[in-house]
Amino acid sequence: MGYIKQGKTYPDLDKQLQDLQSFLSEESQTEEDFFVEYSMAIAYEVDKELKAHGLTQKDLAAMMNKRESEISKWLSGLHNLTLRSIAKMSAALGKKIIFTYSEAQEKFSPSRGKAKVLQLHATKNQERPPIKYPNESKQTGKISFELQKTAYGT
Amino acid sequence: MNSYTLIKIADYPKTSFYSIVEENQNEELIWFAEFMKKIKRHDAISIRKMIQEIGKKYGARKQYFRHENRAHALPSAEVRFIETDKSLRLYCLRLSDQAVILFNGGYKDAQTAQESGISYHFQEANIMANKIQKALINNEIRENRDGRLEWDDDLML
Repeated sequence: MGYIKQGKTYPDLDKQLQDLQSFLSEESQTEEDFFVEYSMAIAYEVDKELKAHGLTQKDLAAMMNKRESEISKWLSGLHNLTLRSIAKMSAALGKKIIFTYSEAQEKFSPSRGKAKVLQLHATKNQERPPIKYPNESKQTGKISFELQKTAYGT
Repeated sequence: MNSYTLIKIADYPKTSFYSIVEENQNEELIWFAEFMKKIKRHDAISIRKMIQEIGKKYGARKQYFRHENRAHALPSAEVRFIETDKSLRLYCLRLSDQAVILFNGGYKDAQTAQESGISYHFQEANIMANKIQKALINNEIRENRDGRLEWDDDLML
């Protein structure tokens, strides 16, 4: 159903709304998408960390000898943060804010899960083909799970 | 005479986004749609991504909406803005983590918003934000239990 107000229909408005909603529902992986995703994520982590310690952006500004307006800009989610400014916030908070993919893999390794699954595999279903564990795809950096193909015959 | 009302443009688990419908003698237009039409493609993608991230992951946290440091700001309504690293400003009214009204905006080409080409949009955003605040007080616009907005069919801002 289109946009109706007081019984009146608005076909031009319907078209505008449909086009807008169609654009907003699209997902892309452009430089801009990654930029916004990273900037918002870092800003969120810093703000969350501040709140967890009962601190404000003003407090962080004071800790870093900066103006509050500058910190507000840094944490707005669309600011082009430099590595230096991220490092400064890390130093002020005494906490690592971002992890590289390899660091995250090391820190949150599924190895414990792997051992459990292996155990289950060994005790519950001896006949199932062995599971190939997470591998980093060189092309996408994403984790993929692949089942080995069943070998028929000899 | 132009008339104005609200329209919902996007609904996500964390936040719903709304804008203004302006109806004049010749046409009806959505302020946020007008904004998206006139900006550069890469900025439109940035704004879209921010809306998606707010809607799906973070909610409309205050930190993502900046406000003008003005000595003589209009009373009551607090117009905020999203600003890209390319000095593109989108004015909005953040009512809560769950409800944001997107107005219009543009590229900031002077030291202050008042001096730049977007000052008109800043002023109209302030006027509209005040009208919305009044409509909220008068219960013509209501926040439901989920923090989303509801309004009467005949709402005129």
